Amino acid sequence: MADGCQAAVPAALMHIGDSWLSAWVDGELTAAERHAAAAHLDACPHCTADLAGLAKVRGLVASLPVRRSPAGLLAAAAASARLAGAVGPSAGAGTVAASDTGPLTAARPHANRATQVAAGVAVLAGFLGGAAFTLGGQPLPQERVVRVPMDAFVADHLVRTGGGPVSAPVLVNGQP
Amino acid sequence: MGTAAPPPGWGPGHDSGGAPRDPRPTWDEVAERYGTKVYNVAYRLTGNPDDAADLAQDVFVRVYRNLDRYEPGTFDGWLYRITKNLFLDQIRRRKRLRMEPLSDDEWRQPASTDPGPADVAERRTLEADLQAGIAALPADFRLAVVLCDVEGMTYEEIAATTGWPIGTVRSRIHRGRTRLRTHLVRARRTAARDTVDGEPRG
Repeated sequence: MADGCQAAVPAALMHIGDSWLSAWVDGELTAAERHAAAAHLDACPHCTADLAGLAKVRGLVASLPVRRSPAGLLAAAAASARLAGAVGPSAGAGTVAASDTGPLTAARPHANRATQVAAGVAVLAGFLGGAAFTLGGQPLPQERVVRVPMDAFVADHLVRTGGGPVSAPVLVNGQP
Repeated sequence: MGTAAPPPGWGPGHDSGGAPRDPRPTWDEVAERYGTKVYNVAYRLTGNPDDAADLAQDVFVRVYRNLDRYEPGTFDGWLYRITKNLFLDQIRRRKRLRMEPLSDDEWRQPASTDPGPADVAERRTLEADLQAGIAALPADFRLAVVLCDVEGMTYEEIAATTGWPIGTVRSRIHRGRTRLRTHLVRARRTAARDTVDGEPRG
């Protein structure tokens, strides 16, 4: 048991060693282990204090604020994968049936196409310029979701090149 | 759900009891559901925005390229396993480039020079201390603590994601937390020594 432990080591916890304390905090002990641990804690102020410290650390980590990515990170990843030659997920993949009770929501209709294309140009320009990931130490404002018309791009690309290597698309006024 | 028997999933949540499996999501669904989560986990694992962006992007690229090959299983599990593998890859690469981790002093600088309300500064410093403590942990302890305490995964889920036996999961979480606690105690003690009545000395 831990240094300073003031009571007998319960037999049920022998095989676990000190980490029974964290397992207690996480609710990961079996009923028998929990029973033995409770009896030990009643008799051992040292382990009780230790437990409180561990619970506190866990609570602190659990309450760390959610850090948000720079805008366009996902779209830049998709762009990067395509530049390296990946065709990417097929257009119809994973259509979710209306009756499906799985954890994912149904796909939403795409935003207005002109907006999409304009956003796509901005994202790709940002990615190619390498400016996308310069960050200070601050948490970032709410991430803006940028939608890139990948399906249209892939379709265009295949028609034009017969499936050749992908180059960065150049769009003028929304047209290739 | 379909009436055919589901194909064997290769996510850790494979359920022979016939419970629903996650269908293959579209890229938009991945972005919406996992975009923030992956970056946040990457940030907590790596401790800084640049490495976090690199790691998150590596994860998304791999997901993008392999999404068609995802078999119905547990999408979370698949995604976390990718994240863990790419995190460990990054650690190995960084070891060759950088011999020392960021010092505690670098992390204790407030995020901006604007003093702001005292409690905001206090919270930022605590976050910085905590994140520095996490970043100082060996990679495996870091994974254990982040998956458990940031992502709220059970020991079983962590074991499935990492491939570690449950006993190893438990002991790495415990050792990670105890080291983190020691780090925090020292950091707070130093911070207290360096202030007079709550104001920085000199």
